[in-house]
Amino acid sequence: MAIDITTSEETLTGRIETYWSIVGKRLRKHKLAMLSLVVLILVIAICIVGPFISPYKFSELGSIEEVLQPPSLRHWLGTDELGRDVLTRLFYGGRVSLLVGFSSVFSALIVGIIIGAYAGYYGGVLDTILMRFTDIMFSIPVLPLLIVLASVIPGAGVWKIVLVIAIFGWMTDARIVRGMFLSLRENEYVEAAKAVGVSNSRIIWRHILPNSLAPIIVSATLGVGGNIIYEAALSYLGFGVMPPTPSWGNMLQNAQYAMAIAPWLVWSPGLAMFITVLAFNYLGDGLRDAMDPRLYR
Amino acid sequence: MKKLLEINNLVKHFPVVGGVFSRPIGWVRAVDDISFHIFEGETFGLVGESGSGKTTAGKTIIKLIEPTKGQIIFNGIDITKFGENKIRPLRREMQIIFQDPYGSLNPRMPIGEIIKEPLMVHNIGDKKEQEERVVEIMKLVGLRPEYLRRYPHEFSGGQRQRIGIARAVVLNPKFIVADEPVSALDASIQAQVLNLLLELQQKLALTYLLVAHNLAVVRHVSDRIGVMYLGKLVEVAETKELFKNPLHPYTQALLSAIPIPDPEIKKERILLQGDIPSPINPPSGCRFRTRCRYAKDICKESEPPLVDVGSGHYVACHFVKEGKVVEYSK
Repeated sequence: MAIDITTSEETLTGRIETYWSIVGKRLRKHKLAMLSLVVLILVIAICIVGPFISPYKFSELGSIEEVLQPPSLRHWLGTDELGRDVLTRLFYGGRVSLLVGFSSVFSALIVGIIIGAYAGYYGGVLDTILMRFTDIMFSIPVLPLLIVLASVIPGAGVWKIVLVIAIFGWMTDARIVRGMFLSLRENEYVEAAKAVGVSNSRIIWRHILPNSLAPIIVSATLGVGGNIIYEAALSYLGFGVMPPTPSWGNMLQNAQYAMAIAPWLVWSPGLAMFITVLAFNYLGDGLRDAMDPRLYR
Repeated sequence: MKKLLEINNLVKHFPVVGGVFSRPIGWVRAVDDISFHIFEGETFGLVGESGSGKTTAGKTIIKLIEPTKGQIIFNGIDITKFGENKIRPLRREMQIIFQDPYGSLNPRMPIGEIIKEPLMVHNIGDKKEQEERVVEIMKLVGLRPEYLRRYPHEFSGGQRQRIGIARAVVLNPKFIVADEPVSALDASIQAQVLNLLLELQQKLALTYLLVAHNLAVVRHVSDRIGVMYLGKLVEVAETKELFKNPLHPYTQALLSAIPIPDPEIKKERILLQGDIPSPINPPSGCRFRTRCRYAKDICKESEPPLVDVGSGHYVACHFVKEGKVVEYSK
C-alpha cells in the first residue's frame, strides 16, 4: 500500500508555530509586561546613551556655588554635596546597577544550572550531596556573610560585588533546575535518546535543558530586579560599589546625609531603582504566564 | 535459521521502596524468569494484558533497563553485563520504537535533528552525508523531506510514529523492539503504520520484537508469538499454530475474546474472573491458577515449566500432555 501520507494524514497548517512564537504572542497580550518591557528597554537605552549626551562627567566636581543645588535648567536633577550633576551620575549608576544585576544573575544561573542539572539527572548520592550543600547555603544568613565576604575579598571593583551576590544567588536556580530535570528525565524522549546511544551530557544539555528553560528564564528575570536591590543594600551598608563609581545603591547611601536639605538626591536614584525593579518583576510575571506549560501540550 | 537473540532465564525485579530510609520493602516481579529466542528476520510478537511485563521484557532485552538476572545473547554476544560504554556501539544494531508518539519525540527539536541525532552520536558520515541520509530515510518512512525543520507538535499521531520509526531505522539496525507501536493511534492509521513496519522489514532485513496487547495486530505481522502472564511466558508458538491450537488456558481465554465480524458465528467466550494479581506478591505455583478454570491442587504446589510439546510449540501448564489439554477429573 502507498505510504504517501500527505493525502491521508495531512494536518499541517501552512504557518510554522514554534513554542517561542506562541510565547511571544501571549506575552504581547500581557499589557503590564509589555509596558514593563518598553520601560526596561528605555531605561537600558538611556543608561547606555545618556553619558555620551550629558555635558558633565560623573566624577566632575562643581564649583562651590554648585554644591547641593536643587533641580534647575543647568542641572536637571540637581547636584550632590560635591557639586556633581545628579542626572549624569544616575546614567552611570544605572549602567553599574544593571550590569551588576544582569551579570550576577547570569553567573548564579550558570552555577545553579550545572548543580541542579547534575543533581536532578543523576539522582542518588550525587543528588543528596549537591542538594544538602544547597540547603546549607540556603541556611546561611546572607547579609552578614555578604558583608564579611565583601570586606575579605580584595579589590573594590564592580566584579567583586557580582561575585559576592552570585555566590549566594544560585541556590534557587539550582532547586528549580533540579525539579525540572527530575520530572523531565522520566520522559520517553530521554529514554529514546538513551536507546539511540546519546551520551548523558548530551542528554542533559541538548534534550532536557531546552525543555526546562521556561522557569529558568522567569527566575532569571525576577532575579535581575532582586539583585539590583541586593547591590543597593550592600552599597547602603558601605560594602557595595565603591565611590567615586556611582551605582543607584551608593547614590542612595550618599544621599542620606543631606536628605533633609536636598531630597532630590534621594528621589532620583530611589525612583529609578523602584521603576526598574518593578518593571523586571512585572515582566517576570508576564513571562511566567506566557510560558505556562499548559498553553502547550 | 539463525538465532539473532537468545534470552535465557531473564529476570527483572523492581524494588518497592518505602519507610523513612527508602529501603526496598518488596519487589515488583515484572519479568520473572523467561526464556525464548528470536530468529533472524522474523517478527516475534509478545502479548499479554497490562502489567504482564511485556514492555519491561522488551526494554530489558535491549538493555534500556538493567536485567536483574539471566542472560541476553545478541548476535552471538552475551550483552547481559555490558555497561553503558560497551553497549553504545551495539545501539547501532538494536533499536526501539516507542508506544507514545507524543512523549517519545523531544518537543524542542526539529524532526530532522531527531532523525539525524543517531548518525551524529555514532559519527556516521560527514554533515552532508548525514543530511542526505535523513532525507532518504524520511522518504522511506513516508514523510516529506521538506518538513525536516518542523517541530514534532506540527505532526499528527501517525506522522509522529513515522518519525519515531525513522529514528529507529536510520542507523540500519538488525533488530528493533516495537513497543506497542500502534496502540496509541487511530484504527485507520494503525494499519498504515503496521504495513510500513512490514515493508521496512522486507527492505532492510529487520528482525522485530513486537510488544502488543492487541491480538489482531500481533496476528497480522508476527511469525511467532509469546504469551506473557504476570511476568511469566506461558506459551510460545508459531502464529498459525497458536491461533489454531491454543494450549494454555490463558491463551485460550485471550483468543476467545477476539471479536469475529460475523454475527452468524456463535462462539464460546471464556471469561476470566477477577483482575491480574499483583506482581509484588504473585500466587504460588502457577501464576494463572487464581483465574484458571482447570486449576487443581497441583497448580498451587508447583510451578509448571515451559516445555516443548512438539514442533516449537511451548506451553507452561500442568495439564498439557502430548499437545492436548487434559482435564483432570477427581
